[in-house]
Amino acid sequence: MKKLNRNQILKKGSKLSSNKLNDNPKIQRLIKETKEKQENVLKLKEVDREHLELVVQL
Amino acid sequence: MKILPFTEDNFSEAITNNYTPKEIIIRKKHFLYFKEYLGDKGLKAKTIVIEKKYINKDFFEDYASYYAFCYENYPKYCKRVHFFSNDFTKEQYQKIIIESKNKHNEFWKHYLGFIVIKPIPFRVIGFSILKTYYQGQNFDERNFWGCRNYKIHLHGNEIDIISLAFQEQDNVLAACATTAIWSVLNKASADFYTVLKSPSEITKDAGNVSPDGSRLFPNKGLDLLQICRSILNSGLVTEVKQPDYTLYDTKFVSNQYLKKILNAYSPIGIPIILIIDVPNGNKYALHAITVSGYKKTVPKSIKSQKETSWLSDNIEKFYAHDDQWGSFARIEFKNIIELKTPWSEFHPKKLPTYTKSIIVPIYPKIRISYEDIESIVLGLDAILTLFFQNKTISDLVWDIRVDYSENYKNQIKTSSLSDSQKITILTDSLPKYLWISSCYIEKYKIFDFTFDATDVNSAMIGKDVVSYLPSSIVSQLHKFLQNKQTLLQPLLKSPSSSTYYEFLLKNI
Repeated sequence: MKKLNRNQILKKGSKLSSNKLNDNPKIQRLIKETKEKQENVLKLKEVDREHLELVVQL
Repeated sequence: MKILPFTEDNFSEAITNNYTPKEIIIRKKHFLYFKEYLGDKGLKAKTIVIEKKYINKDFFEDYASYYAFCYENYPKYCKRVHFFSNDFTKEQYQKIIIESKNKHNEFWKHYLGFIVIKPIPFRVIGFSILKTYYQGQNFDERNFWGCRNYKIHLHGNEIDIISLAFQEQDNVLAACATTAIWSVLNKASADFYTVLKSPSEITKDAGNVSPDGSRLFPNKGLDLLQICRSILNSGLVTEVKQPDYTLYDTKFVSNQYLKKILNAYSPIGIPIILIIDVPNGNKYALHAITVSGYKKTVPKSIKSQKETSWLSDNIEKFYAHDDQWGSFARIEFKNIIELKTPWSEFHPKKLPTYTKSIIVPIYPKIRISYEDIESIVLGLDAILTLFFQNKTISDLVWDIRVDYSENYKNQIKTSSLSDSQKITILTDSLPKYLWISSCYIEKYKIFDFTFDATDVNSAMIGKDVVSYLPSSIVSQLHKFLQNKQTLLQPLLKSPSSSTYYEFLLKNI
């Protein structure tokens, strides 16, 4: 299998930067949304006693 | 022994017994299902071979614990009905079986499997092993990950078949939940951790009384906790996946969550039990089925989107043993929460089926659950999204799965990594089970993040980061992580978030 090169995954002429990221509202929103998504995923692990009492009988 | 051409009439006759005449057989859902499965649109059976006196271990156990004590004189012998995809006469067959199997390998390739017919009223379909439809490991091919190899002995010949055992509930010792567990154990018992039990033993393992307080036998079904207890008593543990979607105050498992779970746990190869709400006449009722395969479409390019993209979304249908229909029943996804099952297809109003819960049987040493890994991956996705800033040709797509570390090492061998990178990974000491989160841009894999599946979830369980990116991008990403640590570290939601960030810095 051949090694990946930049042109296969990046849009033509795109340049990546390691510094260009400010603490702007758009980024804060992404961070907030990610944290919400993480909480929702972990909520699925909470025990629901009522659910465990469902009877499968068909 | 009796040999007949495969026709609808002969098939219905072949699966009768003294308590269940042909007129009843042809009205059974199983007859409708199997005549299609074995017919011209399915496995293309041409010949039926009937073994009239056959001892089946599962029925024997059930016979000893229940039927032998009935006043009615139920026989202990079953009938075994075999199917072949070629035409032959009795004389030709007799000539073949007296010679070495190797001399007739071409003939035995036509063997499609068998159905055991139990000598009890109506619930006649016993232990059955039937070939699957064509399968492969590529996208757009069926992948029956929950199947195993069975060695079938027929008239002095040993034939290998990849399948998963099926039988219908007898409504006495087993309802659908017991039968679903029995199919799971049939696969899991191929290794030495799990004990294969008969339906009556599985039901007994669930507890002493029925959920309604009445006696356990005749069995009226099990609740979710009893299903888990029974699986535990056979050597596996369970994870119960609960509904994630609410509509008009009713909770459902969404199709997206179901796809994620099937995709995540399938590499281990243990079939997964679904609790589905099926239309049955004028009402809905809960039913258990066993998933053993799925079909994924080829991944398409996805534009950058707000929601995280998952490779599991490519699962377009799955295959399940439904003890009231047949083996490997095809189930399709419809919108957010609906499923198209045989229950829906044959319902007069075509009402949909819904998923209410998922019971994932796993080996006890897998202690980290899917949700723990998805939470970390959501953070990694946000970090990489901020780094790439919409400059990639397609959205980042994530594939989360648990697998044997040996399988993972095997996949590394065919990767684009350098020989020295491969040797480092192949010679590394790893836990038996790994969670692997692979990140793709279109068809190109850019990262594998591996996690120890046997650890505790409050620890930093990251094992390695394998990058497939060009080195120039990796060094930019490393600098980006160093420069923005204060901003990005909180995205790794865990009691060990700072250790996770150090892990990323060390391995990228």
